[in-house]
Amino acid sequence: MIENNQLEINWLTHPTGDSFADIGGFVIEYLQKKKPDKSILELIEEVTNIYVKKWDNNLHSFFLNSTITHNSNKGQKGINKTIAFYKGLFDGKDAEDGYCRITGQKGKVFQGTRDNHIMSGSATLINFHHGFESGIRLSKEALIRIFFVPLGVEQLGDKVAVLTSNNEGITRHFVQRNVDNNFRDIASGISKSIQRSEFSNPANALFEYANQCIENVKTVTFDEDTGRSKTQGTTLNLFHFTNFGASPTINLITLPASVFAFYAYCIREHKKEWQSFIFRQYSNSKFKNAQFDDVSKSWFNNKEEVDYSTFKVWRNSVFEALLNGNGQIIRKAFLAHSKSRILNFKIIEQYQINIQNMDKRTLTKIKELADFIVNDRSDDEIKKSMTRLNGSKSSNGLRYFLLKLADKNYKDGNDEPLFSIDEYVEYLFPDGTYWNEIRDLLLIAIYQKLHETNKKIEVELIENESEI
Amino acid sequence: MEVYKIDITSWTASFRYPNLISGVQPTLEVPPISTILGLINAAAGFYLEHKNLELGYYFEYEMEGEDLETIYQISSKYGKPTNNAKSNVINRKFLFNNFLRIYTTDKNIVDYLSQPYFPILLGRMNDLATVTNISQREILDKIEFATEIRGQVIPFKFHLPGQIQALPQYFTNDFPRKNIGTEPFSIISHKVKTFGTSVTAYRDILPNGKEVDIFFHQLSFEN
Repeated sequence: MIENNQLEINWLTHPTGDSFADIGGFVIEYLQKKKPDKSILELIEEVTNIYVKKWDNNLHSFFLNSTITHNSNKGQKGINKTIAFYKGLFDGKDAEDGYCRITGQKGKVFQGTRDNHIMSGSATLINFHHGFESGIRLSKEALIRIFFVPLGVEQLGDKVAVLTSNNEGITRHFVQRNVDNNFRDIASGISKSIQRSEFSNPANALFEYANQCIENVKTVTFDEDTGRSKTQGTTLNLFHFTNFGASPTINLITLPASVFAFYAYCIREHKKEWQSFIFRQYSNSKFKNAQFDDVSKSWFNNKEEVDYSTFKVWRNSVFEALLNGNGQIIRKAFLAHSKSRILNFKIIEQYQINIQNMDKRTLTKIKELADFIVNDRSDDEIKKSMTRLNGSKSSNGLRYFLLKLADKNYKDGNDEPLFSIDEYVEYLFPDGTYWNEIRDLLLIAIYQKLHETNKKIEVELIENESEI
Repeated sequence: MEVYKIDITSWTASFRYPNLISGVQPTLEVPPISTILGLINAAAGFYLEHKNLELGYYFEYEMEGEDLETIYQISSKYGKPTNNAKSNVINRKFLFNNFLRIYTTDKNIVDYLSQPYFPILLGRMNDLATVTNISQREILDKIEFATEIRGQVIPFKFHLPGQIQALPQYFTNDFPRKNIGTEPFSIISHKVKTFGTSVTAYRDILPNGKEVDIFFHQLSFEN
């Protein structure tokens, strides 16, 4: 086996690929930097005191029936048992020889179960482990790292959020921020448990994390040479979990690099238009008949008005669709927005090319068709075209619409065809693209063109529901 | 590089996160190396000792689904299983309509997979898989700074965009079996687009006509 050089690697802090162990490792790394005179056992002691004395053993989402969370371990008894357990790891108590499931180290390994590790199964229900072992086998370093996890994460709704990224700087940044916030609150006497996020749903929280990486967190992604944050090739992974009681559960949510880059593009290049669009996608069943005001950037109804600090925690259907890969919801939202407001077609191009993998030439052709429908046409003609286009209920309907345009182009006496046979096959009805995607994009492009040319066309388009 | 290509398909597949045992069971989007080596062992009918094995693979699926699954939890006493087994229900995610292509220079592996000794699986025992094609030896062109990396696990040292996970490379042949070669990997879904890397790989054309750059893992295991 290709062994890691264990002499050179600090297994308490070295990234392992395991989200929980890496968060714990970054907490230790940060604490060692802040308190260089303390040994790891002294840090364990300090953290144990926080867990028991400041947080009243309230770590049930992490450790089930542990030396901290079991009812019989309140007060000093829990502290003593916890320190004894971690000291025992250094003495090799109850250890056996093997390979750590997280770090891959060969050496002494210990039992890892739900009391000292997260989501790793019970010690008593043994048929979920290799060869009926009582738990998974972990090195002392892996177990110690897990003990530090609560300081580096935050509560998100009813579960805990663990955020990691392929960019270690981002993971480190959020861990250090949480550690700092915890110690600040502990010092001021207001900390009762781990940090609580102002968000409750993971989709909004993930985009807020991304937003911070793009706009504010210059220490993580900011490039001094270019003066911009690096936003290409960044993935965010959120583990949203609880290890509590009889209902442990975990949800893994990824903000892919393509979505991250798209989001960064929208915020940086078209912030005003993007906010006008994305702010309208928030909704809250308790805030009925609400309307959005572009000037004050707030939602209001006849009773109250709320600004971003309030509505940013509401559900956002587009954020959710971006994470779920639900292109239809996003396309419909683009179309609905385009009807009444300018939505730069470059935003749609970025989305279609980078996330939906659409050929750029398809979008170029769509824009050419929109130009043909709008340029030098009367309002009545444009209205008729839009009504017919929106009325296409099948691929046959769209084909007929396009052929009528080609016919019109020919009868107008234009030298060039509106589209060639190759363009029709390759770009307007390409493999992997639904016909209604082309129809909606063409409508969006027409609206964009109307906004650009300040044309007001009164047309009632009927909503097309869930077509495939 | 001259390699054999072995195509394997299955209706369902499920690749667990190694250390998530309680509650919901999510699936990795690409199998770890240990799953591929286990599959090859099943085809061989015995445990293979690997020294200087070069192995590449590509995995794609059509959709992800979620299933409710009955499990039986056997309780223990003094570390030994008892006769008490309680049923429970868990949510398990699975992948549908899967395609795996294994790249190897080793003719023995080709021979094992051309006539598997045991059924081959892509996950659990009901995720049965079928070898659908085995190519003749083919030359793949070397690509420096590969751009078409997808459907693979790549060592994390390259910091590629994707889910990061500590994954085993193999398991020992003793009881209880032990994970060996566990390292951090980036799991690159087959759905990602072209992106720049510092990875050296070998270019292949998939059955759907798309290009993919295959990273070859250098594997040696000594227990």
